[in-house]
Amino acid sequence: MPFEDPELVEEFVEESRTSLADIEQQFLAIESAGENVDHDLVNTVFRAIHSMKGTAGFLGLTTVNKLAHVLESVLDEVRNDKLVPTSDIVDVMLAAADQLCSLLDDLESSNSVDVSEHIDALKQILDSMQSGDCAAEPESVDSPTATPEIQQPTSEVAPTEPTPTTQPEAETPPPQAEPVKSSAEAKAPNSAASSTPKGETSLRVPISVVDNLMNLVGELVLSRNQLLQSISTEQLAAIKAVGPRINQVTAELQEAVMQTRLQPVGNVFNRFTRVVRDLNKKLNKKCKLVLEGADVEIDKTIVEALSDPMTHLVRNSLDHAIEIPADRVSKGKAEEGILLLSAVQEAGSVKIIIKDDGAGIDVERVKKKAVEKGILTPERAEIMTDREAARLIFEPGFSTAAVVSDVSGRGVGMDVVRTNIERLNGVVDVDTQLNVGTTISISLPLTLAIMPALLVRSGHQFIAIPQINIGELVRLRRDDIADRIGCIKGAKVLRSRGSLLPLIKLSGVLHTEDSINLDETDPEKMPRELDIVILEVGGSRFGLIADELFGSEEIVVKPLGQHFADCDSLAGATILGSGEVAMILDVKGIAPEAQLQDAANDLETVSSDKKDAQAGIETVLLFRNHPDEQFAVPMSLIQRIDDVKVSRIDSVAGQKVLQNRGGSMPLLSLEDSINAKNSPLEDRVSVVVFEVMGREAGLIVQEVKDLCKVDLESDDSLHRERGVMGSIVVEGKPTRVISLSDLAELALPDWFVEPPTAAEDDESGPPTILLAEDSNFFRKQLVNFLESKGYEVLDCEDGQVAWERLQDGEKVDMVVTDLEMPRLDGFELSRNIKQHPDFRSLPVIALTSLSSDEHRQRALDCGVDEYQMKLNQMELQCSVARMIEQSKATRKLEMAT
Amino acid sequence: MSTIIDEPATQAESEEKEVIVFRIGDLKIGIDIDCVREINGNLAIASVPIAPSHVRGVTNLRGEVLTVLDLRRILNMEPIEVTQESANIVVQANGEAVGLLVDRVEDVLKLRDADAQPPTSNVDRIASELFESVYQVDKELLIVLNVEETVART
Repeated sequence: MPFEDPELVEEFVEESRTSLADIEQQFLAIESAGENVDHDLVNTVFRAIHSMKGTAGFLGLTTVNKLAHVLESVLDEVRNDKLVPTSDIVDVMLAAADQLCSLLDDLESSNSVDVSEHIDALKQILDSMQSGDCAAEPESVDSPTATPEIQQPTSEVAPTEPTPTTQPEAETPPPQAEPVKSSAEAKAPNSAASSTPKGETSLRVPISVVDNLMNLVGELVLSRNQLLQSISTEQLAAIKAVGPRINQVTAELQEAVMQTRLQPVGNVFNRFTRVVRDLNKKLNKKCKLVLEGADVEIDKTIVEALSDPMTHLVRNSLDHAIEIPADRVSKGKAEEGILLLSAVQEAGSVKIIIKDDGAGIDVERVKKKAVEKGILTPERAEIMTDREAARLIFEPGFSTAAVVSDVSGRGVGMDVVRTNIERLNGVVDVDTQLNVGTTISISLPLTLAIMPALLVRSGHQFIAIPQINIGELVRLRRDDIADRIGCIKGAKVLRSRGSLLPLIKLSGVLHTEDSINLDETDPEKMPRELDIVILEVGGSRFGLIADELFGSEEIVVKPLGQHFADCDSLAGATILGSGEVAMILDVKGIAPEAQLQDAANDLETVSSDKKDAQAGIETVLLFRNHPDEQFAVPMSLIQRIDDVKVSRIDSVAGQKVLQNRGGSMPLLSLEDSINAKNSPLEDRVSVVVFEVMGREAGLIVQEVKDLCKVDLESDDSLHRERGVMGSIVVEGKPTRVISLSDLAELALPDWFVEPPTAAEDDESGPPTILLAEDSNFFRKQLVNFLESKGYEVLDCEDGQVAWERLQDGEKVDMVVTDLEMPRLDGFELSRNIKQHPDFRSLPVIALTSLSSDEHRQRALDCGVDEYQMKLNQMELQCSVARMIEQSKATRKLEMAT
Repeated sequence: MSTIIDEPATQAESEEKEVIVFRIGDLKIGIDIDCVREINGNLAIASVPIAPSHVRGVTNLRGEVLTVLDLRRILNMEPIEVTQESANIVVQANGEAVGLLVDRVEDVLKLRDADAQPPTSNVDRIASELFESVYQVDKELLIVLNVEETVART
C-alpha cells in the first residue's frame, strides 16, 4: 500500500514509536499501582493511544486503528475505575502495545496483518466486566473523518484531542523535542533500536543544545572574519590574538556537537523493567530490578548497540543465575533476588555493571567444560585462577547452559556479547563467587568519534594507543631489564607481579625501525630505560614495547582508506596538533600476534614451574637480623608474616610469646638456636608465622629484605649445623637457609613427641621407602633424614626409574614421591601404582612445593594417600610412620585371612 | 580491456577531454581532469610500513586522512625520494579521495577522442589494464590512465 504523503507517515511512525516506548514503562507503573489507579498516568497513556488511533484512521491504517481502538477502550475502563488493572490485564495490554510497535515497523503491509488474537483478548477483558454498557463498542473501522470522541463514553480528554485533520505533532511536547537529522550517524551494529521505514535514523536533541550550537557557530564565523582580516592586513599581533579565541570556540563547539549525540543510558535500562517482569512470570522467579545511574549519558550509537548484549546478559542472569524462590530461601538468601544495572561515568568512559545475587558461576564446571570442548588444555586449567576461569564463558563455542532454553540459550553465547562490546571499543569482564552472585562489568568509551589515547613513538612513526586498552605502564631501568624480561623459546616475556606476560615490540607489529635489541649482551648498549605498555583486550594481557612514550591526548578518530583494509593492526588514524598523521593501534588486531606466543607460553609457564621444581628452585624470603648476616626461609612453609610491636611480646618462663587472637604463639629467635648475631630489637619487628606439628609458631625477624627465587641446589655445604638446611649465595652474599621445623624442634622440644622411628621388623629388617625425587638437593636431604629415622631408602631421580625399580621386584613398604618430575611425574606414578594389582595396597605420599588445592585434588584423584609439603620434615616423618604401621596391619590381616 | 577502450571511441568523434599531464620517470602520463580534485603541494607524507608496498603513506588533507599511492610503484618502477617537483594529485575514485604521488606535473591538455591510438603492446612493464588510451603528443607517447583501475590496483 503506497502512501500518498510519506512525510506524514514518517512523522506518525516517529511519534508513535516515542509514545509506545513510554507506554511500556507506564503500563508497568499502572500495574504496580494496582487498585490505586493513578488517573493522570492512565490518562496520559489513553491520550497517546487515542491520538495514534485517530491518525492511523486518517492515514487509512485500518489494522493499527482497530487495535488501538480496542486498547483505548480497555484503558478507558481503567480510567473510570471500572476495571482494576491486574497483572493479567496488563499482560494483554503490553502484548497489544508490542503488536502496535511491530505494525509500525512495516506499515505498508500492516493492513494485512492479523491482529485478531490481541483484539479478542482485549475484548474478552471488556466482556468479562459486569458493566456491559461501555464494553459494547462497535467494531467498525473509524472512518477517517469521524472524530474519535464521538465513540467515547466520556469526553473528559477532549481538549487534548487532535482533530484528524491537524498534523500529529501537536502531541509532541514542544520545548523538549525537535527532531534533528543526524547526518553523521555511524552505523550501529545489530542495533535493536527501531529504524524508520527509510532506514535513516534520527535524533532528538533539546532545543537548548541546538541554540548553543548556533551561538558557537556564530562565534566561529566572527573569529574567522577577524582572522582573515588580520591576515590580509598582515597584523601579526592581531593574528596571534585571534588564535586563542578560535581555539576556545572550537573546543566548545566540539563539546556541543558531542552533546547532540549523547543519550541517557536509561533509554536502554528502562527496557529491562519489562524484560525482568516477563521473565519473572515465565520462569516463576522473583527478582527485583534496581537501576542506578540511568541518567549517565553516552553516544547514541553506543546506547543503541548496548541493547542487544545487555538483553542477553539480563536474560542470562534471570535464567541461570537467580534461583527459584524456594532454593534461595534454603540457601539462606532473601526470597527475592536482586538484579542491579548501574552506570557510572569514569574519566572518558562509562562503566556499566550488571550484578546479580544469584548462584554464581561454578568455575570448576566451566573449566571442565572448556577442557572438554578443547578450548583449554588440562595443564592450563590447573594453573588458572578462578577469575580467569570465569572469563572462559566469553570464549567462542562456550555455553554453560546444559539445556538450551528459549530464554537464554539461543545458540548465541557470551562470545557474541563480548564481540559486540569490543566492536564498540569496550571491554567486558566477569567476577563471580559461587552462591553469592555474579558481576559483569562493561567499560565503554563515551563516544566512538573521540577517544583518549596514549601517544607513543615507534621508529619515526607516531602511534596512538586507545586508553581503554591500556592496563598499566611499566618502566624498566637498565639494571632491571635482565631480571624482568625473560626468554621462553625465543619469545620474550615480562615478569609482572608473579605472572609472565607475552611481550611484543611495536616495531615488530608495525614493521617500523627496530631500535631496541633485547638480546644485547653489552649492558652499555641497552636503552637506559625501557617503556612497556601493558595492554588488555578480551581477557588477555600482554606487554608492548614502544620506543618512546608521550602523553595522553584526546584524539579524533579518522577512518583509513580502503588500501588499509588488510592492516588488522590499525584501527584508524588521527591528526595531531602539529598536523602530522598518527596511526591508531587496533589492540584487538595485534592481540593474535601476542596470543600465538601466549598459548605457547602458557604451556611453557607450566613447564618452567616444573623446571623450577626439578632444579630445586624455591621462592625464599630473605631477611636479616644483623647487617652482616643474611638468611632465607622457603616461602612454601610460611603461613603469613605479621608486623608486631615489640611491646606486645611477652616472656613466659623464658620463652617469648605473642598474645594473638585469643591464644598465645611461641616466638623463636635465631640466636637462641643457631650461631647467629643479633642487633637490639627496634620498635617493631616482623614475625614469620609457620606451622609445625599442627600448631603455629613464629620466628622473629628484624628486617625482611625481599622475596627471590633461588636455586637450593647451589648448596655449598659450608654450614652443617642443626636448624640450617644449607647455605647459598644470593646477590653475592652468603645466605643460610633456615629449616623452620628443626628450629622449632630445638626451641620447643615439648611439642615434639618424638614420632615413632622405624621399628625393626623381625622378619624383614627395616621398612624400605622408595623415594622418587628429581632434585638432587631435596633427594639428598630426604635420604639423610629418612635414614636417620631408621628407614631404608631406595632413591630414584624420577618417576620412571621408580616405576621400573618397582616392577623389577624391589621389596618396598611405601612410596614417597615428588609430583613434578621429568619423564614420569608423581601423578602418573601414583596412578600406575594404584592401578597395578601387585602394588595397589602400597601407601603413597606425595611431596610437593605446589600447594594449590587443585594440585592436592588432582593428586588425591590419582590415588595418593597423603599429600605433604616439601621441607616439612616433621610432618613427613609422622605421616611415614603412620602409614607404615597401617600397611603392616593390613598385611598382617591379609596374611591371617 | 577492450570494453574500457572502446567506449569513448564509439561516442561522438568530436568528443574532447582534458587531461592533466605529468611525469613518472621517463613516461609521460595523463589522467582525466574530471577525476582530479586538486593538486596538492603538501608532501608531508607519513609512511605506514605495514601497508601494501604501493601505498606511499598518509597525509593530512585539511583534516581528513588521505591515502597517498606511489604511482612509481604501481607502474613497477623503483620509488624515489620526494623532490621539490613532486606533486600529490588528489583524485576521486571508487568512492574515496586518494592521492597519487608523481614526479612532476607538466601541463593540462585537451585531447580529442578521435586522436586516440590503440595502445601499443610494448609500453614496457606496465600492466595494460591500467591504460585507458594512448596519444601521440609532441612526438612523445602520452599514456592516459584509467584512474579507477590504477587506484584499485593492489
